[in-house]
Amino acid sequence: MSGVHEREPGQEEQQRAMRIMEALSGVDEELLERCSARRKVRPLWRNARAFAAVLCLAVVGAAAWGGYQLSNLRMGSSDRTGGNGAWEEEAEWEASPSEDPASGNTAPEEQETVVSSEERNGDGKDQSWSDGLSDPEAGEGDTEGKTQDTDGADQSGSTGMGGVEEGETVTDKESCLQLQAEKLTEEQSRNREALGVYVPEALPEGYVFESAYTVPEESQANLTVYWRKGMDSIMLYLEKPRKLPATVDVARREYYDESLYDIPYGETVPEDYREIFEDPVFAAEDLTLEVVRSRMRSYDDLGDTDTPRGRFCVLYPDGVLARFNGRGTAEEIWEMFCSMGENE
Amino acid sequence: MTDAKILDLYWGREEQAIYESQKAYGKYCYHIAWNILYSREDSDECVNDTWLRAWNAIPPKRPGRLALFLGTITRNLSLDRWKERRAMKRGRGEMELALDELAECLPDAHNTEEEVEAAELERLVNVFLQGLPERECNIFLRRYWYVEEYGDIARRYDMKLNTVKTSLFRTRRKLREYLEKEGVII
Repeated sequence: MSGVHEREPGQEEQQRAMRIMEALSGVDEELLERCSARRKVRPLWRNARAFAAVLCLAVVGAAAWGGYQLSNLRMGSSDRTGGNGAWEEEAEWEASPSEDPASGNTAPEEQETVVSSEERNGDGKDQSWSDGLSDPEAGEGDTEGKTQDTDGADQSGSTGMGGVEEGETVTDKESCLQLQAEKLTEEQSRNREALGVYVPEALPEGYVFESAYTVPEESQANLTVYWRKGMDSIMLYLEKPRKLPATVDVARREYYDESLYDIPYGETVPEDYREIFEDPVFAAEDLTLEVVRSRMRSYDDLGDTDTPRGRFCVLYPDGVLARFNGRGTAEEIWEMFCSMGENE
Repeated sequence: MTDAKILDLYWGREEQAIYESQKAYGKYCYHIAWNILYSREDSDECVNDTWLRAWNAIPPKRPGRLALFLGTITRNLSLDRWKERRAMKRGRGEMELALDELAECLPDAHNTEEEVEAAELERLVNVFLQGLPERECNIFLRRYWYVEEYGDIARRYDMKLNTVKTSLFRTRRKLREYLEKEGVII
């Protein structure tokens, strides 16, 4: 017991204490009645307000999450683009198995919609590299047919400039410029005028051709080629721009050498030349193994391969610009670039 | 059955009054007796005696709160029974502890002063309790009127056990100071 009992009161003391106990028998009934009540429970309606608020938050949260998930599903799923190499997966979006087979639409191959993937490559720096492209073979009529087939909505009023990706909404289609792309084989890509010679003969070991496209509607000649090796990939976008971009002075390593900076680059690379650093353009004659090495770096990303990855551009004397984004060792990539262009 | 109807039965000298009282307040009275006596047999006897006392008291009395009236009878009977048992060295339970605690409230005795009368002590205790904050008063009465355990009080008022103990300690000290100030000798 508590220290109260340390006194060990004697019998006489207990008798006197009993007098107080007995005196309590005459206590006011109101006091007794008051003490018989249990602690007042907060009225339910007061708690109900809090519960209602929590419930509303839960409902809003659930709705937002559901909307987000639905949006992902319809937009092509951010989950699918989450990792490295995911953009290759989206290069060919196949028709959903849930599509109505009775609609008499084109085969899945015809429904391929090519999306140049740079903006989904994780950094999203150069949006101009990517556009939703469609297979020109599908034709306008087919495109409309596909639209109806894929999302079940009547798209007859659409521009017909491209196929509709799985789950793409009407709004997406109407608000985004879609370009027709011409799908090419590897051989066709190598035979393309002006640009074909820049399709490399030598590729890092294990890479295989995946796809190639050109967009005739663009003002300048262009060619996009993909290679893949498991989770790793290489994308080369060749173009002949009307206005030639400025090239980097390779003597100024601070402009392009990734080894000089810590990640995140946004915090370590000076703002003055951060834009150049992100996407440097080297003159072909300046490109060396050392330069390539400065742009190929391994990242300790959880769940990713440790293959070095890099991104840069090379401007050739004939005005062809090669935008490289891919993976491989510096030596492999250097060798690849050596195999590009006119081999004299 | 309402208190008024039970009282009518008492006033009508109908024995059903005892049955209805037992039905309505049997557990309540038994609870009071049990806390003091800690004995089923003694508690049953005290509760049964309560109905007899009530039968004899009503009429002429017509208590406003029948429960408290019956509970007070049970309590007084139980205290008497407890004193008999203590004389027989059979005292135990919460009552012993409660008395030990109340012994703290005893003011120092002075030879020149006479022992206070029971009625005066009752009045003084009432005044003291009415001057207490409601929560302290409630806890004090649950402990020393109903002789409830700390844990039961804590559960009743949704309080921590230590809070109950602290409250009781402070109230006892206040009562002692109050009785000393009033020059009461017990």
